[in-house]
Amino acid sequence: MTETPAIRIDDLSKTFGRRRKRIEAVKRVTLEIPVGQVYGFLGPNGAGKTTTIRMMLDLIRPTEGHVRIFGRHVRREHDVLRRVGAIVEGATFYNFLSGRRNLEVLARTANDLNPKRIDALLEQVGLAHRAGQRVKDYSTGMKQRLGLAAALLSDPDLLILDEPTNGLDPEGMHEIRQFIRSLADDHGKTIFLSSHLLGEVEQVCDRVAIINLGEIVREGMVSELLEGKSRLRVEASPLDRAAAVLGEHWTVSSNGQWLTIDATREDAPHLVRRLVEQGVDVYQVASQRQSLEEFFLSVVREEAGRRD
Amino acid sequence: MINLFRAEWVKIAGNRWVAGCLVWIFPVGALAFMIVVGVIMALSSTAREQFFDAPAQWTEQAVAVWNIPNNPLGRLVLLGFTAVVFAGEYQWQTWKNVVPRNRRSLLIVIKFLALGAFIVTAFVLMSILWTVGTGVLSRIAGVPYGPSLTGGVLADFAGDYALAAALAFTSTIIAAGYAALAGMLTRSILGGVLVGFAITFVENLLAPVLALIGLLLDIPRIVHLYRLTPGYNLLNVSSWINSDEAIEWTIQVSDKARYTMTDSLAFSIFVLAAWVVGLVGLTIFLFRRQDIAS
Repeated sequence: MTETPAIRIDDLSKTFGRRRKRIEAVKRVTLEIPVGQVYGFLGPNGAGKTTTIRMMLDLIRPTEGHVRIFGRHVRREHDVLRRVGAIVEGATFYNFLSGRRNLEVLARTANDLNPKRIDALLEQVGLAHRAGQRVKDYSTGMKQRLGLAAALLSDPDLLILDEPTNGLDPEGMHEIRQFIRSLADDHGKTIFLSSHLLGEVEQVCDRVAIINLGEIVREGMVSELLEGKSRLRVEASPLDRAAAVLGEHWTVSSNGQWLTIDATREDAPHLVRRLVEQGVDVYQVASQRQSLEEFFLSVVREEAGRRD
Repeated sequence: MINLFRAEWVKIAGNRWVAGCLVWIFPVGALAFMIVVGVIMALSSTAREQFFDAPAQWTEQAVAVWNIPNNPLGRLVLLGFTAVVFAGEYQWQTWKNVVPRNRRSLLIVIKFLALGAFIVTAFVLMSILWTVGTGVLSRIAGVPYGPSLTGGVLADFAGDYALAAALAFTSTIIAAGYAALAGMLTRSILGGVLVGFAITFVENLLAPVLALIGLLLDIPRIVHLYRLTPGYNLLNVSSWINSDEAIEWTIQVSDKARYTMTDSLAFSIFVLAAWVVGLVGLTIFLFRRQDIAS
């Protein structure tokens, strides 16, 4: 029997405004996220990431389509959200209450107050010593850590994290990345992670979806998406002549010092031979695996070009 | 539900600056007033002789305090407070943390209940301080402070006191209803306060406005619509509690048309109950459909 996915989104759309002010923020998004995965959700600003997340949390009513979490419809069976912890668009709290009070209020709101768990979470996110201080005196990074504690309050099976490392220092970011990975690997949690830090996503996510202008434009395992996406970096002289020679067969870009060629490692001997035959001196040819960031940018540019 | 109520209470009471300036100021003010007057009376024989025109009655003193949340000015203060509580969730962007954790309808109902209970608690405290303080002042002045505690007196007092407290609760819920709707519309505390004030202001101006409309359209009886406003009915119930008679409200539409409104206690309670149910119901209906987009 197939396991019920943690998240199933079917034909989800959201339109804001009417007539001339009508904006289609999300267009027929369909996704399925299995239990236990760390799933990356990428997109440029205004792509529809946060609107999609808000619909997953029943904060925004979809215009069409629906979201199921662990097989249950979030609007009709709101209680399923008790199995979900979330940070949406930065952690915000009641600034006039202390960190601990904020967690108590949220736990009570969910009818799930467990003071020992609150203490443990404050310890886990490194805020135990500042828990009695009012949130208005917290730094952005501290609020973000408190947000993570709030998301974990009910020991959720699914975590939806929108930019969870915002405001954290590099060490804090590293800790959170490890923490996210361990939640999935050691505790079987499912993580839905939206982030603009693509290096971060590449390091922790099993699978990603790229959303642009409200539509999913790519979706798959990180390893599959980047498979065969290697490039060659060529240092040669004269550079413009080298670019012209290679441009006949491959896509070439130049930064004035070297050329980046969309070609595989196996193409290297052929490429060098052509350059030498045309009187170009070759100093260095190096193979580079395309990063998720480069892949993301190429997809977004490709989509923009297709629309123009 | 108790947990949710306590969560709301912590949020309301925890906003100390707002709760202090708009709610706790009443009992604290009463205490300060009693202390200052007590000191003056202790030091001055003239003050002791002149302070009481007639001996005070503890039954009246305890109930009189409840007129504050029911009169137009008191309602504006309450409206400011309730606007902070409702619109604050939008301005502080905290609905996004709260809404996924419980049903929207329950969140709204409990917010109304917690607000009402908070205001009633503050005024119970104020009425105790005021009643005890007046007793102390009476003793300093050497005047009697009756009536004696008999079963009949206590039963009458308990009835009036419960009705006054229920009326303050109702007044708070109506103010909170205006504030909640204004907060939803503007999504800011200032907007919630201003729109809420505007609604209350319009409600208070409704009598002359209806008289003018009645005159222009030649249907003077339209002024009777004023009998359906919360403000009129809150004052009418107050009058029934304090003087055992209806408030007399006279509106002159033209030389020939002059209407005097007097309504029963039951009528006003029914109208106020309809407003409470209507405002809470409308707030829930709109909130359930609202996108929490910030």
